[in-house]
Amino acid sequence: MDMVYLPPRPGRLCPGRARMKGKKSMHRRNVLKSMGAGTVAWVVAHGAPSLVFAATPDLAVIKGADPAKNVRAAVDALGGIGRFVSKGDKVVVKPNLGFGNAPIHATTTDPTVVRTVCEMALGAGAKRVMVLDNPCHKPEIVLDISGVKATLSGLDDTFVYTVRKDEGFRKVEIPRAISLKRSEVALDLLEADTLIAVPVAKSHGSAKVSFTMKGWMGVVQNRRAWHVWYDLHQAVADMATFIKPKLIVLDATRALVTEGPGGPGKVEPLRTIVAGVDQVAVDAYGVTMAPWGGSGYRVEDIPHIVRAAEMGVGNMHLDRLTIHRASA
Amino acid sequence: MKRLRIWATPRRIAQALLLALFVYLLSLARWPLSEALLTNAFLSLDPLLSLQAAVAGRTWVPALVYGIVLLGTTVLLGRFFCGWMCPMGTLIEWSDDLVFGHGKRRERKNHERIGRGVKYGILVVILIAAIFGEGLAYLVDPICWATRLFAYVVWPVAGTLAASSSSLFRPVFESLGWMNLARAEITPPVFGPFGVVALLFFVGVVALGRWQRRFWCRSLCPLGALLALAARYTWFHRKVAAHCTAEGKCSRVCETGAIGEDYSRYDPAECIQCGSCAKSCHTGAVTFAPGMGGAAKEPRVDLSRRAATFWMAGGAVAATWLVRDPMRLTTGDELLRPPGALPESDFLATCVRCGQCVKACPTHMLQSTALAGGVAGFMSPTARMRLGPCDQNCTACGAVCPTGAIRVLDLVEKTYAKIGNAVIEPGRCVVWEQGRVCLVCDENCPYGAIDWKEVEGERRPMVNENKCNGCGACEHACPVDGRSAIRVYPAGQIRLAVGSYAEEAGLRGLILESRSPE
Repeated sequence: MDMVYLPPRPGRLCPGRARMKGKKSMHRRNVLKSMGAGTVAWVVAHGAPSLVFAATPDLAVIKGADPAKNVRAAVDALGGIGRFVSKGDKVVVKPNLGFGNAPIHATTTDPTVVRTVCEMALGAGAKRVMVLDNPCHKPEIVLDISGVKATLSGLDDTFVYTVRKDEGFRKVEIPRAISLKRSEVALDLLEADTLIAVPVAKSHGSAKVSFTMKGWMGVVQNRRAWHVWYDLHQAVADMATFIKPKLIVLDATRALVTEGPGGPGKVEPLRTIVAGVDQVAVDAYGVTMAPWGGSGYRVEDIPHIVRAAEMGVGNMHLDRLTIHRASA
Repeated sequence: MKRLRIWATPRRIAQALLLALFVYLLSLARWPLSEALLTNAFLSLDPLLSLQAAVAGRTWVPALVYGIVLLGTTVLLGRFFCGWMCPMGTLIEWSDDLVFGHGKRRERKNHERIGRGVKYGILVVILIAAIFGEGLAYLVDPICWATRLFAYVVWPVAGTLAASSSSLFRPVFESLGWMNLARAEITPPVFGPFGVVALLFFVGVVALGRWQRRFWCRSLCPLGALLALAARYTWFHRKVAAHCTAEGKCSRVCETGAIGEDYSRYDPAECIQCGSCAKSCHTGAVTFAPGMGGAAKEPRVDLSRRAATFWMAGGAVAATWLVRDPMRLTTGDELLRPPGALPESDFLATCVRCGQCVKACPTHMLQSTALAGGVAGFMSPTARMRLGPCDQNCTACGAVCPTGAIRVLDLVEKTYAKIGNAVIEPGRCVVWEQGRVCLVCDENCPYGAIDWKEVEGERRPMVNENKCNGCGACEHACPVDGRSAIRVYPAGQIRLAVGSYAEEAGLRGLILESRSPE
C-alpha cells in the first residue's frame, strides 16, 4: 500500500499531509504545532492557565460535569468556532441518531452536546444549521426518543431531520477509495459550507469502536452494502477519504463501553468531550478513553483507523499530536 | 307543552362533524399515542362488537359499558345513532345522494319492506356463533368497515400522496426557505390488499341504494338490528297532528321507509330519528316529542319463528365449521401476533379485525392477513417483521384495541410479552457463509440477544433465546436481499389472558432486559 501514489487531497484542510506520511518537515503546520506544544508545556509548568495560546493543539480533551461547558471549552481550545464557521455558512451537523433509545443509554449523541454545537455555529453567523442522520430505527421514533428534536426546538434556523429517501442523496465517485468507489451521499452534506461531526463514542460489535469515521455510515443511503458487498473496515476508511469535517466534537459525556452500537450494555460516565479537526486523530484518541468492548484496544487494533491513516486521511499516532487537556 | 322540532339541517351538520371526529380520532391511532383522547371511541360505543367479544371470548370487555349506555339511550331516544352518529350511515347517505340523487325514484317504493328480517337474522347468526366461542361480527359490523375504509384506503392513499408531493415540491419549499417542509421525509404507509376489500364492500353497500335509500341500514346492518330491538320501546316518538292532509310526502322522504300507508303511524324500530318527515311536511303536522305517540300498533321485527330457527342453525353451523377449520390447527406455529395478543383461540374470538392496530403500528409491522391464519383468522393482524420491527418504545396496538384482544401493556410489561424467537439461517447469513464483517442483527437488537461465539476459530452470531423478545429488529434490518437470514418464529411466545408477562418470563427463566424510557 505504501507504493500507491496518493494524489494531493482536495479540499481546504491539511493540504499536503498525505504526502508527508508522518515525516517531520518545516511545514507551517508542524512548526506551529511544536510552538504550540512548547507553549502548552510552558503554561502548564508556570501555572498560568489564562495565558492566550500562541498556537492551537491538534486535540482538545475537556472533562467536566456540564457537557455544554465541555463543548465550548474544547472548541475554544482549538481556536474558537470562528475558525470553522464563517458568517452566512450553511452548516451541516452530523450527530449519531442511529437508535430510538433514550439519551442515558448512550447509543446516540447527547442532545445537549448537539444543541451547544448548533448554538455556537449560529453564534458564529451560520445562515442555517442542518442536523441530519440516516437512522437504523424508525425516523420519528429516533428523533423523539433520542431527545434531540425536543432539545433543539426553539433554535432559529436549525433543522433536525433524517435522510432516507432518494431525493436526499446524490451518487458520487470516491476517487481515493480502494473498495467503496461509488456511493450515494446525503445531498445537504455535499452542498454544505461547513460540516461538523458530533459523533457519540461507543463500542461496536464489528468495527470494534464507533466514533467519527464509523458515523459516515449515517450519511449514505445504502449502508447494507458496506456489510454485504464490501469489507466493512475498508468501506469506512474509503468514505473517510471523501468526507471532510471541518470540526469534530466527539461526545463521550457518557459512553456505551460494551454491547455497542445498539446496547443495552455498560454505560460509563466519562464526562469528556474531544474536539479536533483530524478524524483519524480524534478516533485514535477515542480508542484510549475506555476499555471498549470490555477489554479495550490499542489504536493499531482498529482496522478502519489503521487503514484510514495509511490512506493519508489523518494521523493516528497520538505521541505525535499536541493534546490540550483541561477540566471545564 | 312546547313541541320539539328536529330539522334535517342541524342533523347534516352533526353528521359531518361526527364523521370528521371519527376520522380525526382514527388519525390519532399512531405513535406516540395521545392519552387524552380515546382513538377507538366509535368502536367502543358499538354494543355489537363488545357484546360479541365478551360472549365469544368469555371475558369482560370494558367497552361494553359504553355499548350498554348506547342501548339505554336508544330506548329513550330511538335509533338516533344510525341517523346522526354512525360514520358508515353518513357515508352511505351521502354517497346515495351523490350516486342516485336525493328523492329520485328507485327500483322499489320507499315504504316497501324488502328483506328487513335479514338484519335480525345476521344478528342471530353472530350471537349464536359467539355463544359457540366464535367471532363473526367483524364481517358485517358497520363501524368496523368504516374504520377499515379509512385505515386501509383513505389513510394510505393520503399518505402516499403526501409522500410523493413532499418530494415533488421539495425544490419549491427549498427556494421559499421552508426547510422543515423541504426536509420532511414522509414515508408512505405500507398496506396489504385489504383496502381493496374494504372499498369493494363499501361500493357494494352503496350500490344497494338502487333499490331503496340506506338499504344496508334498513335490511342488513346487524348493529342497526340490535339498536332496533332497543328502539322498539322508545320513549321519544313521532307524532302527527290532526290537520295532516295525508299527502304522503313524509312516507316518500323517510330515510328508512319507517312510514307505511297510514301516514299517522310509523315503525319506531326502523325510524332513525332523522326528522326528514317533519321537515318535508308543509303543514307542520309532524313533530317528534317525548311521550307515547303514533307508533304502529305492533312495531315489526320481520322475523318469523321459523326464520329465526333457520338463522340460529346457520350460526351454529358457521361456528362449528370455524372451530373445525383445519388450517386453524396450524396457526399457533405459523403466525406471529402483536405483543399482548391473547392466547390464540381467545384472540380470534375477541379480535374484531377493525384495523386500528394495523393503522397505529408505526413501523407497519402489523398487517392484516388473508387466510394464513385459517378461515377463522381472516383479516386478523399479524406481525411481518421484514416490513418493520416491533419498536421497543411503542405499545400503541394494545392501547387502541377496542375489545382487549391485544392487552394494554406498559413499556416494561411489553418487554416481557415475547412475540417469538429469532432463528439464524446460517446458509443465508453473510457472516456464517462468507465470513463477512456484518453485525446488523446484533446492532439492531434492542435486547442484546445476539451472542458471538467461536465456531471452528471464527466469530459467528447466535441467538440467545432467553434474551430474545421476538421483536424482529434483526429480521427487519438483515442486509441480505429478499428473505432475511434471521427470522422470528412463534416458538417461545408468551400469550397470557390474565396476569403479568414479567412474572411469566421470570418463571420461564428469561432474562429480557428492559430499557427504561428514562
